[in-house]
Formats: sequence, C-alpha cells, structure tokens
Amino acid sequence: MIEFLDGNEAVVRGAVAAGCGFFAGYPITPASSILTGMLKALPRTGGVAIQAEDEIASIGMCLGAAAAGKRALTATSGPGMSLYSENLGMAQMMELPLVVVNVQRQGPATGSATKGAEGDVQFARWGTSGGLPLVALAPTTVEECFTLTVRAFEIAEQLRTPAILLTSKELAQTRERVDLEALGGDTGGMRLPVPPGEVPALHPIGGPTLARFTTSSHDERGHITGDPAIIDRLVRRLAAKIEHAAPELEIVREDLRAGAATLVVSYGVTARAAREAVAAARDAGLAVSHLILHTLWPVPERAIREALGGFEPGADGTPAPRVGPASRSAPVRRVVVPENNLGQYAREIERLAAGCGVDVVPVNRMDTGLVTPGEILDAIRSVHPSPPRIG
Amino acid sequence: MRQQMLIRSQHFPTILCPGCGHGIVMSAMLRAIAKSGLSKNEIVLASGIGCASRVTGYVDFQTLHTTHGRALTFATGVAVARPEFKVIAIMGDGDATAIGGNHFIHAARRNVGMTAIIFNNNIYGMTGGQYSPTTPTASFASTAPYGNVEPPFDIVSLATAAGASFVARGSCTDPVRLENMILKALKCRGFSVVEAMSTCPTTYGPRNKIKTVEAYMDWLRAQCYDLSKKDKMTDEERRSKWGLGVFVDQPRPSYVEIYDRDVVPKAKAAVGEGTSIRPGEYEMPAGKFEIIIAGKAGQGIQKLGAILAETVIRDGNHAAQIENYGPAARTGISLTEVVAEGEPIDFPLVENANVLLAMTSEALAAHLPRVRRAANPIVLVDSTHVKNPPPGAWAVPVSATAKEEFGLPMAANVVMLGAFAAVSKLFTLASAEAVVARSVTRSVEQNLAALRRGYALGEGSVPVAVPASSATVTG
Amino acid sequence: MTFLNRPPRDFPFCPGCGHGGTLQALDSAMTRLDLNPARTAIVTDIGCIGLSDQYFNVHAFHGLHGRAVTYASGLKLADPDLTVIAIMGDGGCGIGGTHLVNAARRNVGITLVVCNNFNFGMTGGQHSVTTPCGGITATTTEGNPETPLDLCALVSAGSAPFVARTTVYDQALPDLLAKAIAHPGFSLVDVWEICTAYYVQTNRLNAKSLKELMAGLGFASGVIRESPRPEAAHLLRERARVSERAAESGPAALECAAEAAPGGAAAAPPGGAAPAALRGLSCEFPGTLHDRVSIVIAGSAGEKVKSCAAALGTAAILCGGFATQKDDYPITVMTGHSAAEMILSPSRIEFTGIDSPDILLILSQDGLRWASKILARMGPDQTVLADDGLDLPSGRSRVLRFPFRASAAEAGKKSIPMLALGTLLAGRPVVPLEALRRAVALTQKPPVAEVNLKAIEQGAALAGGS
Repeated sequence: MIEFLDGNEAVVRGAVAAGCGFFAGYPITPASSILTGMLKALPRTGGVAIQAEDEIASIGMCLGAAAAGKRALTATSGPGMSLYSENLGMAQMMELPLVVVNVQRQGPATGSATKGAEGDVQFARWGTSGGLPLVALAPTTVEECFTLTVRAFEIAEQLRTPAILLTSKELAQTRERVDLEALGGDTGGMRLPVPPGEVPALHPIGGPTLARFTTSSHDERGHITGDPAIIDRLVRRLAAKIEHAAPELEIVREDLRAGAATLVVSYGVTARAAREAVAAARDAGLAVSHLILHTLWPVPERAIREALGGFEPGADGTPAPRVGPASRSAPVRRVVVPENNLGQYAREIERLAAGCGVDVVPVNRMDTGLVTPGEILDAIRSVHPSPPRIG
Repeated sequence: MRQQMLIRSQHFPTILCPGCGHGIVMSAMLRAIAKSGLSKNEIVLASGIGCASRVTGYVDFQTLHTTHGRALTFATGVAVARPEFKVIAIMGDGDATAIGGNHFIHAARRNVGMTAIIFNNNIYGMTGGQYSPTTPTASFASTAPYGNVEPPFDIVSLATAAGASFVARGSCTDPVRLENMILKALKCRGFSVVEAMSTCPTTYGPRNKIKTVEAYMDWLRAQCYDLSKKDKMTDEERRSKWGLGVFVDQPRPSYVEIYDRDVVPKAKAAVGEGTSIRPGEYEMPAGKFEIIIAGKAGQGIQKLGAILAETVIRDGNHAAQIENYGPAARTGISLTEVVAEGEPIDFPLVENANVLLAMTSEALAAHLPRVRRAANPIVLVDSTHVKNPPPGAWAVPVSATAKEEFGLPMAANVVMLGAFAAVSKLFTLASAEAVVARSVTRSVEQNLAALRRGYALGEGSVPVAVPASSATVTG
Repeated sequence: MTFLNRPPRDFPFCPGCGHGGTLQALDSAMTRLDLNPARTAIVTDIGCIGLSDQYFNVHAFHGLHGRAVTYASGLKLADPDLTVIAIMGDGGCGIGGTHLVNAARRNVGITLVVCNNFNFGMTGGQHSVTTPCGGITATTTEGNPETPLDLCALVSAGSAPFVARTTVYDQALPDLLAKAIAHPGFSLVDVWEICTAYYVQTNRLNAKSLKELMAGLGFASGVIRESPRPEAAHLLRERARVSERAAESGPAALECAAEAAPGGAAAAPPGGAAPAALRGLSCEFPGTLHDRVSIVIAGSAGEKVKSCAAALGTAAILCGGFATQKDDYPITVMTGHSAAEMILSPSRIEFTGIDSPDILLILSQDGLRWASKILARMGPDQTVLADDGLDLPSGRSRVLRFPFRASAAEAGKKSIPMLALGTLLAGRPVVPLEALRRAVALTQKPPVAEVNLKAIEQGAALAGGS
C-alpha cells in the first residue's frame, strides 16, 4: 500500500505494528506529531496513551507501564532528552524495555526548534550517568523510521534495555512515498542470541511472581546491596548483555567496492546525500565504498573494520589485524564521514582506524541546513588519489 | 512613562497569531507598568517557552527568555540576588502548571517578591494545540481527539494553596480590570500571581466550534463571572467557569525580607574562629599511620575521625579522612578511616592498616584481621563494650568514663581520642584540645575534661598481657 | 496475617524514627483490606523511607527521587485493577511537586503515603519543603526563612478526592490508611513523624508536640476531603474500549465517543472521513511524470501551503513516481512564512534538499521574505511564479506574474496555494492537472476538496491568459 507519509507518522505506525501498548509524552517540536499520532492510535488498539505534565513524568509513566509488562514508547527532542536522562539510567538499572524516539533538532538547548541537525549522537550514548552501553538506531528514510521502530522494540524487549531511535526533523517532518506493507517481511522476527543468565526473564508487576524493581544497586533478587562483588557482577552483566549482542545488533548497509581507496561512512539523513555523492563519484570513474550505519550504538565495529579493509574476521569471529597476503587489492586510505553536526561519530571511526594509516575526513554542517551531496563529493574528490597514470 | 516607550518596536509585528488574546494581556501589563512608576531599567522580565513567553522579545526591559517551565527559577535567582529589581515572570498555562508546576508551587510557598503573570489559553498553542492541565474536560485538542478526559486545574486555587501573597484572575475580555490587577500585583511585596484568561483562536477555537475571534471573545466572556457575584450564583452556575477578581491579598514578609531580618544577623553573629588551621611544628613518630576507627552508629565515629585528622594537621603534619557508613544514619557498624603522616599523602585510603580504634566488639571482630599483618599495630578498644580484648591491645573504658564521670555518653569518642593521643603520641594533647573546643557545640568544658581524662587513662594503661603460646594482635 | 517479610525490629531506621510506625500501620491497613499480594504494588521514592518496599511481600518498585508518583501512575494506567501504593518522604514531595498535583488533578487511583518528618534524613538533615518557618536544619542553621508547604491543601487545590493528615502516633492511622487505599481515586495521607537523627536534635519537637505543631501552623487534620470522582485509569480503559469498537465499525462511529465541548458546542468528529493514507495510493496515471523537478512553494502561515504541497506530492505518486516534501515554518503557528520544498521524480529520491529549485512559487510577502535568498541563486533556466502584487527584486530567472491572491479573494486565502498549483500545472504539466484533482479528492475532506477543486480550475484559467 503506497502512501505519502512523514517520519513521525511512520514511527507511530511502527509502534502500533510492534504491539506498543503504552505511550506517554509531552509536546515538543518536532516530535509532537508522534504524541498526537499515538494519542489517536493507541486507544483504537486497546492501548493507553497519555500526555504527561512534563518529560520526566512521561518517561516515568512509561517505565511504570513497562514494569507492568506493557511495550512502552515515548518520543521527544533534545531538550526533552535532557530531562529523560536520569530515568534512562534507571531503565538500564531496572532492565526495563523502553523505546525512546529522539527527533533531533538543532541545539543546544532550545536552539532552532523547527530546524534539523543530528547533534545528539554522542548524547545518545553518554546521556545518563554511569556510562553503561545502550542501543541507538538511526533511520535514513521514512520507511526506515517504521522498520527501525519495530526493531527497537524487539531489541529493547529481548535485551531488557532502553533503545533509542535517533531521527531528526529532516526525517520526522519530511514526507515521501512509502510502502509500509511491502516492508512486512523486513521488520519482524529479529531474534538476538542472548547467553543464558545474561538477560533475566521479566516478571511484570501484577503477575503471579512478586517482582522487585529498584534503581539502587541490587542482587539477583532485586534487594539493595552494598556488596562490591555483587555490584561488580551486576554492572558487568548490564554492560556485557549489550556488548555480547553487538555483532547481532549491527544493522548496516554495505556498498563496498574492492580496491576502493576511499570509504564514505554515513548515517541518518546525511546518508541520503552520501548515496548521491557516491553515485556521482562512481559516474566520474572513482572507486568509492559506502557504509551506512543504522546501528550507531553499540558501534558496529565488525562492519566498520571490514569496510576499512585493513582487518578481517579472526578465527573466533572477532576482528583481528590481518596477517599474510592481502585479500583485497588495496586497503582503504581515507574515510569521509559526513555528519549533520560538528563531528561526533568521526571519532569512533578514528578509534577503529587507529594504526591503519587511514585519514578520517569529516564533512560537517550544523547551520540548520543539510549536508549536501556536493559537499560530500568535494570531500571525496579532494582526498581521492588521482588514478595511476599509464606510461 | 508612556506605554509606547516600553516596547521594542523594531521587532514588531509579533509572532502572535491574528486574534490571539496574548497581545491584549501584554498590553495590559505594559499599561500597568507605565502606571506603576517603575523605570524601565528596574524591571526584569523572565519567560519560559511558549507563545506567551515570546513577549520578552518585544518589551524593552531587562529580559530573560529561558527554558520551558523554568522561568520562575531564573526569576527567583534574579529577585533574590538583586531585590531592588521588580521581577516579572511570564508563563503560559503549560509552562506554569505542567512542566513548571513544581517551581510554581515553591515560588508561591517561598514567597519571593516577584510577580507571575500566567497567560492561560487552556492549550499548548506553539506546538500545535495539545491539551494542557487547564484544558476543560471534554474539550478537543490535538492530543484529545476523542475529547479531554482530564479535569482542569484551577490556577487560583493552586496558587492560594501553595501560599502566594496575592492572587487574582483577570481576562483579556476585560483589559482595564486586568491592568488594575497587574498594577496591584506589582505593588505586592511577596509572590503575586495574576492569571490572565486568554484565547487561542488558532488551535483551541477551531477544534471546539468557536470559529471566529469575535465568537471566541464572546465565549470567554460568558465563561467568566465577577467574583463579587459569586454568592448570588449556584454551584451549578459556577461550574467550570472562571471567577474574575482578587482572590488573595494578604501581604506577608517576602523571602528576602525574612532572610535579611532573621538569617543574616544570626549568621554574622555566628562567625567565630574561621576554619583555617595554623599548623604547628610537632614531629610525629616516623612512618605512615593507617587508622581504622569503628564502632556502632551513634557513637560519633565520623566526628572522632574528623577531629583526629584535623588535630594531626594542626600539629603541622598531614592527614586524610574517608567517611564510610551505611545508608541509614544511625544504624549498623559505623566506620571511618584516617591516614596520617609527616609527609604529604598521595593515596588517601587505608591499605595496610596499623591502627584500630574499636568502640564495640562487633567492630573489633570485623576489623581486627585487617591490622594483623602490620608489624607493630596499635589496637585500642573501649573496654566498656569489648569484654575480651585481644592480647597486645590497649583497653580503656571510654564509654563508661564518659557516662559515669561526666554524665555525657556522647563524649565517649573524645575520651577515646585522649587515650589514643597518650598511647600513640601521633598528635599533641594541646592541638586536640583546640580542635575539640571548636568542634563540639555543647558542653565544651566537659568535653575538654573528658579528653584530658582519656589522655590520663591512656598514659596509665598497658597492653593486655600476652599469654604464652597465644595469638597476639600481630597474629 | 502480615505483609511484612521481616520483623519490624529489622527495619533499617534509626532508633525512635517514625518510619517504622507508619510501615506497621500500613501493614495493618493492607491486612485489614485483605489485599492480594500479587495484585498489589508498593512504589517508593528515594530517602530513608525509600528503603521500605523491600520489607513487604508485594510487588515493589523503588524509583528515582521525587518521581514515585509517575511510576505509580504508569503502573495504574497500564493495569487499572492493580492496587498501587506510593510511599514518599517530604523531600520527594518537594522535588516531585508537579507530579503530585497533576496526579491529583488527573485522579489516577493511587494511594500516596507521605512520611513527613520535616527534613532530609538520609542526606544529613537538610531543610525540606515542609520544614516549619524558623526550623533549624543543616541548611538553615540560622532558622528556615521559608514557609512550610501544606501538602493536603495543595492536592486539595488539585481536586484530589481523598486527603487526610495525622501523626504516626495516631491509633486511627491504620484505619485512615485503609480508607485511603480503598478509595478508588487518588488519595493522599500526610503522616507526620519525627526524625530522631536530625530534626528533633536541633528543634523543640517530639512525639507529643507534633499535634501542637499542626495546630500552630493551622493545618487541617483527620480526613480533610472525601469525594467521589471518576478514576483516570478506568476512564481511559473505558475510552479505549469505545474507540476500539468504533475503529472496528468505521470512523463514523467514533463520534459517539466524543462528549459535548465547553460552551455547549457540539463534538467535532475526531477522525473525519478516513484519509486516503488508509486506503493507499496506486498508479492511476502511468507514464505521465517524466522528469525530476524541484518545486518550492513559499507562502504565509495559515494559508494551507503544507496540505496543498502534500496533494502535489500525492499526485506525483498517483503518476507512478516519487515525491518528497520538506516543510519550513517558524515556531509559531499562524504567523510568518510557511514553505514547502518538493521534489517530484520518476525514480527514487535520496537527497531531499533543494539549493536552487526548478520552479519557485511565491505567494505572499512572508513567502517572498523567506525565499529571497533562494531567488537570488536562481538562473535563467529556472522559473518563478509570483503573485502580481509582490515587488520582486530583479534576478536572472524567468518570472511569471499572476493575480493569485486577487483571484482567490472569493474562495478565501486558504485556496491560494492550490490556485497557484493549478496555474503552474496548466502551463507546465509536471504532473497532469487531473492527477492533482484526484489527489485533492483522495486526501482532503469533501468541503475542503470542493473549494480546492474550484481553485485549481481558476488557477488553470489564469495560465491561459498569461
């Protein structure tokens, strides 16, 4: 079924498709239409949707509902994410599944409320105290706003963690032609391999087994503890369950060319400009690889390392420095990282490329406009080694 | 001062929609300010986020356009820091009673001298017509597509219950009266609130069959009644309507007045000896003292650690103290650790303990193993509670002494300090006396006497004898 | 029978602390009501009293400081028949004040037990929002200059249906708590206690003088409010049932769910006719969208720029093509510019930005102001369609002027963009006019569509005359 929808409408559809049973939110540009959409949609499917008195209450109510066994969603933008911060940490501590949509807008603070930017990428990773990992996904199209919302619910539930969907004004309020029904096969059914004991079963409040949720450090039965050994076990497990699932959480689109010396790594709305730039570069005879990241956190390290070409999977499946003859004709020399911020994910690429002799070339813009294909193409051209001359 | 002089006309036209009631409210506010006799530079206008909050952009005062719901927090900061200014906070209904509801309650309770003007149009206009805490039940909003199930707040009742000094409700349908209310509010010394009923012909009206600006004004007029006619109306007639008038006008001293009157003089009088320490030149025994002080909650263990560390520093040496306790204040084992040395200390935690001051047998049992590895540990126990001190330990009845000799059970820690001074020579009695005198709030003389008594007891005691072939504290 | 899983002597509170007494009274109340442990949840806040949930054999949720009411509300809204008891201190009521009053107003059926001992015990005896004026605490060493909050009066102002206050030493406390829990709506019991570690150490207050303090402050005691009001969680569940049934039987039935709006206005149909989005779009005009074209429509807020652009995008899809629409507008709703950046293309569209459009429609002064930089970038191959009342700066692009605003005078300003689109497509059939008409009919409510279909004809007629 073909429709003309924007990203926020697609998120609402995705949530309903994923069986979301509870929503609480607070008005904020440019996420408000998720609030209005959910308030309209959920009562029709037997769910409950409420507009809370502020963002803290919104996420608080969602966590209460999640503890009662409902699939819960909340949506906001940067200023609201700031108010979610403490409760996001609590969701990690209580291992409550929750999907949080951050429709990014130009910041900091109130910034330019109706303008786009993707400046909350590191904030998504480090936005609460404690520094434990959580999951963040970034769609590049309206259709992916739908599919990745469904994915986010699956991940949140299977790993018992908050999962963040990072969209932006440029996706949330851009309409385009979509066919959500045709995506049916691409959405559901993600099963993450969860080692036994790493993610305990959730016994909802109100069910036959008495449940104990606490924001404090606790033992396996939910009782508060000060025992360093138990606390160590808890935080290491909370980190490990995400880290161990990381390879399965890698949702990326690889468009790699053997022998390409230039790699473009993109995500979010900027990936669309990057796709056009890469196509134009190839039309001009340049060999360029393109890696689009849908999973931003945990960092899809395997995919990035493989795309960098200097590494290949080791015997145990983890990336290892390549030894022996090169399996590719030439490793990547330069990575172009276009971002709709002042350069946030480039540092992750730099970290993974360390020691590989790779230059990371950022292309940044945060003036409320989009990074254009031309700007990315210029970066590809300016860093692209000239084709070898013959004779 | 003319009203025209109070605006930043270069920024006009305003962002407000045609027919919006907020312009009328802003205008009434400006006329009230013009009449108040306040000068432009005396006025600080703070606002949050929302259509109403944009007013700060158009008026020529000192203005703060801040974050959503937080206008009153910034305003409180200004009003308390610069009481000579007249601070006005402008908020919408969502700003004031939803996200900023807590600040509103506590600004009213605290009674900081400032004026809050709430532009109540019963809806979130800027973000597209979502229902707010003042949206009437059964009204429609973009987030109430099936009709609002929630009952609305009565802002006047809320402000009154929270303790505001002046509370009034006016309406953009009666701008002259509104202006007079704001003028009265500006003259109030404490926290004053004016709720100004306004309209949203863009997002509230159309969804609720109030189609034109004129119809909206008529509707609002009909929804309001004069407070003076309240008694002549039935409950049914008043139901879900807004009474207009002054509800509370009970001046009481503002926060700043009370602060200046009651707190400042006492605080000034309480300034005695500063916390700075003039170090002496006492040469303490060589080496690093890694001291565990343990007992039960309520014995003043933390205080003992703090006094001990400060005494060491006063002698010209170095000390660090780490507090360690369970979450409840006076229950379970209480523990503090002090490291003391003649040289500056790098690692401030006790790693290889060589001193244990134990005030109970539980504390002794828990921590004795930690000092057993040390070469010549000092173990000093309160023999009032520790009936079988281990061989090699010093035992002094500190609790019994404090209670029986001085009638001051709480001084057991001070007795322990005195005994430890005598046993260890880590610090001087003189410095300990100075620090104790400064640290205790009551019964200073008895505490000093208890300290000296502890010293004497320590000097006179010897370690518990080591029976042959028996484990000692050095194990 | 008891709900406590350990004897009260194991409570983690200081000797003489009032919290233990309140918890025992709560246990008696729960026993008296014969609550089912599996259908009961205790939500606690942060503070000494926050440690109490683990002593009860019921579901437990120990959340962040000041937010207990939000978690309790979430639990109740998700599971309306669950008995939810939140326990907070006076400190939590301070940081979470807005949750308190809004839960009371909303009437979520939770019971809030406030263990009020006038200071923050766990963190070292700092003053709280209920510390009496003049009270000495760690942070008010010279006496508290603030006035204490009357929690009961506050939630009463929020129309809480059950409000009570007493001290922990009151024999009737278990009764009072049982009443509060049994009340179907939001209930609050403000239980006054003493903090033996801090507050009573520095102030003249003891178990006996609590009542005197209450009287001295003029705070009401006993059951202060008791009135029936519909409870929110059940109300919302009922509402969902009605909506669910309505959704099954079509959008028209939804009107039954709506109640009378204030001022006696009749309820508006919430959904209106089912939008085309629910029925899907198919390729009705194959092969008619040939080229990728970028179009920017610049007009004024409140003049339906966005919805007209959406119709144009829909038209492109009806032609078997692709479309993107990016809107630009100021933060406010009905004032300033409103613009839409459209790309129509026979193939998939990646980058949605437009630096310099093929076609620019300028419909108003607001639109001109916003589009002036775009206008300056446009070249001779690009076309501007502008209202003839506007004073355009000279540029390199081809400019065509039409009396859009004057022609729309009759139908109203909301038809201006559609009229201009009629003119555009009549002169340059990026998509056929028929596709736009079909898109309007599919996406807009009949009365609006009627006006816009007329506007398209008017606009098309203008093109013939230029």
